[in-house]
Amino acid sequence: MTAFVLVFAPVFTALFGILFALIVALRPPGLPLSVRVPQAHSDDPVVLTAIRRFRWGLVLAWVVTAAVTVALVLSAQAPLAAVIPVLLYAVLSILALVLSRRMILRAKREGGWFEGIPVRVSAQITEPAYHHPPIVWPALSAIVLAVATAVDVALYPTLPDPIPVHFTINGRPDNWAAKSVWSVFGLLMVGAGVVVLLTVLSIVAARYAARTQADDNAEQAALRTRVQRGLLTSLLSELAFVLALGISAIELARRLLPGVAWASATGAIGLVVLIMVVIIGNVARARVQLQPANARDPRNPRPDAVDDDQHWKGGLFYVNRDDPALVVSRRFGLGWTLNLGHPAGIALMILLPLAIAAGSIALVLAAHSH
Amino acid sequence: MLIDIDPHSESPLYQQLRDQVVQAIADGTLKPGDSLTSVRQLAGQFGINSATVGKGYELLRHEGLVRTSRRSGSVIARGPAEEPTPGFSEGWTDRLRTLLAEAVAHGMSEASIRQTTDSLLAEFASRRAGAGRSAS
Repeated sequence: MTAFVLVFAPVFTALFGILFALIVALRPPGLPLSVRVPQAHSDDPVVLTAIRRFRWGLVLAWVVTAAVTVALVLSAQAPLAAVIPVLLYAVLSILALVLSRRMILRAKREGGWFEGIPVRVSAQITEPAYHHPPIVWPALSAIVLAVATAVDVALYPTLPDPIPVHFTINGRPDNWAAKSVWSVFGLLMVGAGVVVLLTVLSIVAARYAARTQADDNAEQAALRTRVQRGLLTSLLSELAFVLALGISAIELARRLLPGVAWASATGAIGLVVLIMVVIIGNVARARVQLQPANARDPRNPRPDAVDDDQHWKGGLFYVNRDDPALVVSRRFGLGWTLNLGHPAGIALMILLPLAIAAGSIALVLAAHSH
Repeated sequence: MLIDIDPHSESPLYQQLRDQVVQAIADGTLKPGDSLTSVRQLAGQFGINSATVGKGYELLRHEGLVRTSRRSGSVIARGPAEEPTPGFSEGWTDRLRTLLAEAVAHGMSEASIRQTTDSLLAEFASRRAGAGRSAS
């Protein structure tokens, strides 16, 4: 357990940091560190210094996190050490973002970067083509879950009663339940539910258009929508497959190799590693695909976007009562975020975490109620 | 196709929207049958009131340049290749009279007015030819 935490926390936070640094480079040149700047200042020395500082901030945050992990493990707080470093790293990296973007905000205000320059709001009046998300990942998810289910069905008569339903990290059972369809197939049912949910989300994600930045030309705006839709659909459907694979592997390890410590643990660690690989792989690919959208052609200059910084709190949260949109393109990273100035946006912001919390508590209670 | 709106301009936002669609039809960027983003979605894209976008679409519908059906939404209704709608030229002549009067009042010579008109018409035609080539 101790060794696991000592390796897991630093590796996990390092991957998180790489992801954060990759995301910074995804945005158009007019939005460094989620601050709106005119094209004439996108290579301003202040902007370049701020981005460099943000990267160093991420490294520093990682060093602090690693030190805290070691301290927690040495003081025999290993269970805490699995949770606290990840949270600490998230807080420190957001702090690095807020502090370094403040530099650009100040220079922009004092230098009057937006004074007297022409600005526009832009949108695509013809609908960008909609592509159905590929079926291959949902199909593969269904296949691996079906294989694990088939094994469970075949083994059902020989399974013990009561049957173990909860295991320690070493794969030893620590809770049992009367043998029933629920206690045997419970994990696979949760897996199937998660796959369906993520697949539905991936289909929904493919329908929204990215909000056009005025400094993009028509092809660049269309490319941005295409990449954003493609990233979210492939990310969600690949994550669904990885979860289906991990859950099936854990289920098979329990049934076919009961009591073998490494089998269950390998499934769990493999799952976390694969999730990070899928996320970083997809973001890195989106970054390459977006390069033509972030290039600027001095022979065909585009107008600048309107300075809308006052609606972006900390560069991360969007609050604009005058905007009819409930969902808008994120400024930092790719994807969509809620407009918290919209009545439904506030309701969703409160209800979504509540629903997730209620769902998790219900799952835990169900697993322990036997 | 991109529409750029200047939020600080004296010309109202719906008018800017309408003018750019008319120009896109003239230079072949928008062709008869092209479907337009719905009012609600376009307003969400711009981040402006739906009523403003609706007013721009209403103007275009009134002029016969756009038609809206429940099934296919708003589509471009006509293009440069078709005969003008009856009654169009009277209203247009009135507006052109004002524009020409402005030019004359500001001292533009007849020759330079004609030259400007010709070069603008040539620009629409050459864009239309370009749009036709890239589409085929």
